[in-house]
Amino acid sequence: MKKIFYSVLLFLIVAYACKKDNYAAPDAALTGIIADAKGAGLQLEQGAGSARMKLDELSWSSNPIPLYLNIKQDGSFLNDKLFPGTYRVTPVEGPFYPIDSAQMLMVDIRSGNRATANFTVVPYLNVEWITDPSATGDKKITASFKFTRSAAPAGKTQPNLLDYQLFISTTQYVGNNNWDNTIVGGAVTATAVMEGQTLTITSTAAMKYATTYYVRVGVRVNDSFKKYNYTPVKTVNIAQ
Amino acid sequence: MIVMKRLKYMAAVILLAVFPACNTLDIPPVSVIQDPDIFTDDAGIAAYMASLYSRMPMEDFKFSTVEGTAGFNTWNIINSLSINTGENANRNNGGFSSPARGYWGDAYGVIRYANNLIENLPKYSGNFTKDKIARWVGEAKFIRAYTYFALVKRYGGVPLVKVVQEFNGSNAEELKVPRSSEQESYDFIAADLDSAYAGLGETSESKGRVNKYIAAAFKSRAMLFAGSIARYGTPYTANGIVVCGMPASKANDYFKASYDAAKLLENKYSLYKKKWSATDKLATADNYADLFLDATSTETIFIKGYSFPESVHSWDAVNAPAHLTSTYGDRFCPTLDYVELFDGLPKNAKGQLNTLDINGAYKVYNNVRELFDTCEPRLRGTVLLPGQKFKDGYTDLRRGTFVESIDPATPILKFFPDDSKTAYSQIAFYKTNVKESSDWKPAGQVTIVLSTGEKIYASGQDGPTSNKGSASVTGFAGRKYMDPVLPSANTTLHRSIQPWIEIRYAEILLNRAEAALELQQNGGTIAGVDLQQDAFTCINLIRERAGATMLTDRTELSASASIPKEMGTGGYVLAPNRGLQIIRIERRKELAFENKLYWDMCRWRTFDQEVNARTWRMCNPFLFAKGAKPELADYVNGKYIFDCRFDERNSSFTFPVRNYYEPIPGGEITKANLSQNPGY
Repeated sequence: MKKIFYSVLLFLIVAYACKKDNYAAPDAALTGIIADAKGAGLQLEQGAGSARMKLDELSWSSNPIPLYLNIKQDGSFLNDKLFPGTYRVTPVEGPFYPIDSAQMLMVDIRSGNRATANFTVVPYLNVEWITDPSATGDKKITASFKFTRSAAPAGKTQPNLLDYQLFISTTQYVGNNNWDNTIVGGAVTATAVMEGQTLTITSTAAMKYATTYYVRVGVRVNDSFKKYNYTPVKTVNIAQ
Repeated sequence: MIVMKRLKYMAAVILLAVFPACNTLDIPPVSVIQDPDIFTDDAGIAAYMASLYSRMPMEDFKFSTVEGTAGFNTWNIINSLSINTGENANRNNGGFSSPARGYWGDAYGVIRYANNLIENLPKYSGNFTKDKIARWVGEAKFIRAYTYFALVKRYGGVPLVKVVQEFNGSNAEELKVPRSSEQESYDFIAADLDSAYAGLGETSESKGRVNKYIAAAFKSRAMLFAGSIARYGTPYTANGIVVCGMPASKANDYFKASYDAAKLLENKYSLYKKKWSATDKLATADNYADLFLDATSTETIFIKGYSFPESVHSWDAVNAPAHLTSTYGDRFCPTLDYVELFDGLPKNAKGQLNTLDINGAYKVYNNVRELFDTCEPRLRGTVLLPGQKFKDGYTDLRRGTFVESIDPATPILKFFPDDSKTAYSQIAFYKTNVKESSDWKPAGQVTIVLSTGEKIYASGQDGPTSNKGSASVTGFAGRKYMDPVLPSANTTLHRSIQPWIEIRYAEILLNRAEAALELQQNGGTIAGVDLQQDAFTCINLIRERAGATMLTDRTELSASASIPKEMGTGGYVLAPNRGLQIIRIERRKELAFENKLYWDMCRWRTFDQEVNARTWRMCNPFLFAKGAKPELADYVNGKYIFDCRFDERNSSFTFPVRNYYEPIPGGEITKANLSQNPGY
């Protein structure tokens, strides 16, 4: 009897502390793309590894703790679970010249609405395929590519070249965040004389499985973040 | 009514009677010992020093990347700095383990404590001789510099609090010190160490206290960091202050400071060579292992002591081979990548351990030790190799055993190419002919009964096992710092008391060689010193003691291209040129498992390139049951082959670029409005 009394009492005490959560779920959305001067989306890594969107919510503080959004491989991003507010949006930490404060966007996001923030940045490097990657007779993957550097915008210095690497993965999300480093050699030091030249890179090991491999080449400069500029993803089919 | 009146009178009387007893309560708290009590005699200072020294942020036997107070002072060292660098691997760690634990508030506590002595001890000059005051202020400055260095190597430029800050109720804003540049921070550390050097005596006041040479030794380390960051770092500016990185033009100045400081220790300390022998490799190996345990070592510069039961660590229990401890164990497994750096091993063109014959079949060794018979003594002094005597047993390292029908005389082709990560179980030959255990413990072992009637375990009692989460994960165990006389049964947590050697002379020689070569290759000079020759001499001193192959000519320390990955021994150690690569490889071989290499790879800024989706390698011994004879409980005499491969767990390690600087704790940023490091 006593036990029941205490259980009921406990329940009442606990239940008393309950309150209906009447806050609306965040439903504002922000979308956009980081593109180069030609309007093409930057080739990046999926997630937060290669660049992030920095959001400062300025409606209540001039120096808030920032919020970061992830980015897709093609340079676009979308988050549809944001709280409404006034945000200052900046793409940061990526393989491009840091943008000036004048280029940052102030975005007013309203509940249920989708706001857009598109950016044009100057990538450090442009990396292009020369020939599509293919398999050699002994099932190694080889590809040729070239890279060119973008001139530094006024007031910025051009960082030195660092290295390039062949990224191979069995999923489409290939990049420095998702690759097998045991089948390629070390990253190759990139030098200024290589710029514009046709460079060929080959895996050091043969591909193990009869499957589709996703391949990308990345080149990077030696800035604080050391992020790769990539070619678009291509596939190589290895037959049995 | 009368009652009311009476009450009023009573109240008035009580108030009047009590009031005169009131006093402004403004006395120093009697439960806290104040400066005037402490700064009176040597004993008071000794007590003050004890609490200063004990709070130094030393990455010793008790430093972890996941536990403790911001990583310090924990028994649990399973997650250590060394599992990120390729020195060590263990079954609990399958990826990068960031040491960024927000060490900040405790640091400023030590700094305030040191500041108090620096500022206030000279006021008590009547109680002590001038010399003593100078020495003690020097000690406090050393500890302040040591603590600032622990901050700067983590965060770059930090707020430099140089005085004892006092809060008077309204000056909160003034007490918020902004971050200084990284350069100013290093310059402050250098100035403190110079001043410590000037004030301190030739010898320590007592064991574990600093003297002037310890201050110089530490300066050589700090300035080497500063020089490397100036040369290899990328400056980053926040609020107009270069909080990360330094101008490259400053690099030579710092390397010169490092060289000069290291040079001050010449003839004051020497490399430990008590048992060393030019001809006996085993004695030289034992000599190397002893240097970490011999209290009379001439190489030891600065130590932290322990004593049972009040101040203990657990190095032996956590790290001993699985069957040579009563608890824990097997978390000290040097990687094959590390082992391959050493001389005296058969290597292939990639610079990797070669256990194959020219046809690609496994070479058969007559016993488990033979492969390493001629190895560099320092390797045997650092690592417990298969079949090595240790404590009251032998390291029993064996991945599996070939059934008796397999004849060692018949060549066995390598299971997979070197660069394959495929599991053994996918090979039909392996599945039929190799017995393995999933547990190292005798109770869990698969027992093989030989035709002689004798029984052996399929896997060794120290692993590696088929269950990749048990015992050694690399085929090796560790020896450095391990107590060889502590019986296995008594190897438990909280029982180890060997002192931690924070600075030893070998590091100083390596600092000196690196600083000298950095200067020589970049137009720096030091009057009267041939820098390349000096670096050559230092490296050869280290190599001679290690029993390694000597450099033949100083021109080997050249500025020509370094050996690339998989193109020769140590190719994975990145360096701008061959000369620096030689010095960096030497540093790794000599200073591994001492919590130093993590920071070296940071200051060289090669960490993110070297440890990027990196899978460490291992070396699996396999026994032939045919002809095998169990001689001891943990030693089977028989023929062996060795399979070198990638870690069977396929765990891969990546050092994130942003980790060159750790994030300043969010609370501190808000509190003092500090700028954050890039990437956070």
